[in-house]
Amino acid sequence: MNGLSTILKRELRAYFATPVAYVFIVIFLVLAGVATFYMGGFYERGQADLEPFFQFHPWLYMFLIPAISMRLWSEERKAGTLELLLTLPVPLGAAVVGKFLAAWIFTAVALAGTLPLWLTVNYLGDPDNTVIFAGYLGSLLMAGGFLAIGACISALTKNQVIAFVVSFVICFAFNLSGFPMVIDMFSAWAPQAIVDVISSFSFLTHFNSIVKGVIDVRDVVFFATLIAFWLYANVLAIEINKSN
Amino acid sequence: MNRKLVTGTGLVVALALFLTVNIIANQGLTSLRLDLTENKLYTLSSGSKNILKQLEEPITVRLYYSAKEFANIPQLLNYGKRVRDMLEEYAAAGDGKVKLMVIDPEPFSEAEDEAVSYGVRPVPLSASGEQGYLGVVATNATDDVQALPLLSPDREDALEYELTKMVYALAHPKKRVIGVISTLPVLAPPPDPMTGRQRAQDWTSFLLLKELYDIKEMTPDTTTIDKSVDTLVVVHPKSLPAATLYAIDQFVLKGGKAMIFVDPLAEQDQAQPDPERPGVPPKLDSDLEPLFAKWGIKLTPEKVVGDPTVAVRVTFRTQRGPQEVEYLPWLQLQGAALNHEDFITNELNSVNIGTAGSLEALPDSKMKVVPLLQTDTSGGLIDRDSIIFVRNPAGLLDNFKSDGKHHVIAMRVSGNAATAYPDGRPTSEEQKNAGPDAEFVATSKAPINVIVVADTDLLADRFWVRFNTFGDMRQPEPFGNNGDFLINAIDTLGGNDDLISLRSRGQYTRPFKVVQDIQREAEAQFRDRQKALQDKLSETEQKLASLQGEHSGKELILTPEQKTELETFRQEQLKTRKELRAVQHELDANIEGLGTRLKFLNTALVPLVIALLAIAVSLVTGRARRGA
Repeated sequence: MNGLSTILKRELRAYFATPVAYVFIVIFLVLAGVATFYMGGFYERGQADLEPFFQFHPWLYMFLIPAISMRLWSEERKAGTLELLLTLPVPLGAAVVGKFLAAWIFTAVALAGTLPLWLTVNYLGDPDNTVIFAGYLGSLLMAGGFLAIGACISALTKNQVIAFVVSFVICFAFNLSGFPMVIDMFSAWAPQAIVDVISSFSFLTHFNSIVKGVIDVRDVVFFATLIAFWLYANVLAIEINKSN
Repeated sequence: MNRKLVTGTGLVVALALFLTVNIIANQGLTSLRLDLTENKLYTLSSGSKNILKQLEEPITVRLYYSAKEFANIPQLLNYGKRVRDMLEEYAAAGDGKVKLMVIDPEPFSEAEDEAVSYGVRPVPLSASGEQGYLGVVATNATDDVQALPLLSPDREDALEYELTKMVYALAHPKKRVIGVISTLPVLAPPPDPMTGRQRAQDWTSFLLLKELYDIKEMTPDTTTIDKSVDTLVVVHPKSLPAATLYAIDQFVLKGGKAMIFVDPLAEQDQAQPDPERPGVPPKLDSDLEPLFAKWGIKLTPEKVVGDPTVAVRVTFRTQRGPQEVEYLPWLQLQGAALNHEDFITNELNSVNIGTAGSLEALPDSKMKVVPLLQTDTSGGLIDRDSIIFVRNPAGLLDNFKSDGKHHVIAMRVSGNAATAYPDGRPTSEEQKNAGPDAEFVATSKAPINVIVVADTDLLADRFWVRFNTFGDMRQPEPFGNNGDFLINAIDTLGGNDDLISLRSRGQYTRPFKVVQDIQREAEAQFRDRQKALQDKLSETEQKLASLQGEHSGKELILTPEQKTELETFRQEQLKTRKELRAVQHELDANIEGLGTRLKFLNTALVPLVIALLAIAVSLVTGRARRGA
């Protein structure tokens, strides 16, 4: 555990030491605000809830999370510090989880930057704050899912751009798998059970139900197992590299 | 190589585990969910769930929802989504028996034709003829159709009730049988066998019942209630024999639903005074006392409810000619007098009643009582005899004193009740040989469901409907919701306790109150200005018209002064019109301004602060680094 917290602290410090992190947060906040107010018509629809804010999160994360995660391991590999890291008396699993948690906390900080919107909606009307809280929780869970994918991909390549593009494509696929056009494509020939499985892997469906204010055990299980799987794959990816 | 193989296997195992856990969770953990919404929007009531679980035949529900067309009408767009969400809950709770189809009936498509053929009504969206649809159609295996042709966001609190009722009706397509016991002529007697002529007509309220249900009429001395009857309507139970009361008692305890109309003074009762004792008024009241006692309620005897604030104004002939005055015992119940959480009364505007009694729960009763119609605290009780003898509205008003209590005129009663006849069937002369009742029950098996109304007059035509005659057609034109009250009550009694258990859930939409306040304030402020400007404009126009009028028919040459005056008027007219336009424009400016400020705050200000923070941090760390 000691090793984990050491890695976590080291990574977190690294985030806020460079202006890149702030640039990332600023971009996230501007995009989230623009999407909510201009694309989501937050003010015009006149309803005291944050649905137009949350509905863009899967799409925002698809771009932004790979940008955070791309450097997690590729940078270490490129700079040659990975070997150094692996010689430290820290189990590989702890290093993987530590890096992942640091990135997740960083995302949470960025998300916390949208709290003025929560205040705004409370000023304008009388929203159901437990639903909004659930929305933030769901958003964070989904960000965790995207991050785990991105971290694993980052461990596979030295090139950050490749890490970004591949992570983006995988995240995009996870988003799309619940879309009617994808479902229709499969439902034409595949048995219903397979179609159900494909659609159940969509981030959108799981996230949307949490945003509504309904915490379904299936959604929590989905995100938790997804994160666990990709982190495990992340450990394996580094193991393979190490043996090379 | 070996290591790679091991890691490869590990990955495959992990993937298999991930897939399996999720597939099992998807199949098995369908009901483990936490609804955090304040009004439990996504949790179906147990009543709905029970009805859905008991479905034997599949039901197909089609939601016609023009999502694309509603893109610019957020209220309908959001409501459509919520309807869809709720229907998804139905499909989930229906255990595969409810098939949901969400259809966007695009203009000129087959889906649109289909929607129209099911009776789904379009919502006009613009002057240019665009329209959208938001309606639900459900069908069962035998192609019975139930439709909610147009869902209105205003009715959201009743959405679950309407949907469940629809599902229930499809699962039980047989017409319900309503038994009627009445000492008043609510149902017309059969035509005269000699002449074949109809001697009287059904009361309109019962004519409505006949259209919707199978009516089984029983005489007031009936001793058995047919097994096919699921709801019993008893009107004015005056001096019913014990055997009839016993039959009603047993019917209710065995799960039959009942609606009872009693009255301290039934104005429609044509009973005449006893010729031998002409001074004693005839019996015009009714009660179901022995049964009411067991149901935990009582009707205050010989008293009639009066309420000056909702009394109906009548024309009363005095020595000084006709005079309009409030007649205390006739009430027009509106607003808070109608229970807005119960589906019987929540959509009604007004129910008119005449000389009604006051119902109350007995103090030690464990039964649940829900008032449906009740007076404000401005009401009070009037002696029945003073109404019969005085017949002077002004006199009643002079002697009236409010007692500051709510007087309940109609109520729902539910709970476990005991029989009023613990010894079984009362033995009358003719039933002496019938022996004991084999099906006798001493207490109710399940909670009973009864609606009691302390007025019979509200059913009579004169209290809620007038007739227009077109040729030989007689068209009823209701001026009160008395008929709807009866139908709603019979409908919710519905023969199913689950349907009765559904209640209104209250607030769904959460509008921007601040924006609404600004809107209201601005509108009030500008209405005044607009009024002043409009007055000025019409004054100017009048002057202009009169000036032009002076010259009409005469020579059209104006003096230079008149010309100037005319020009000034015209200028003023233009100026005023412009100002009025500005007023219109200003109305929205405040709201837009607030929107712009909030947009700026959320999209630019916060990121700007963070950017400044970043610069500060980098300066500080840079200096520290240089210092080091």
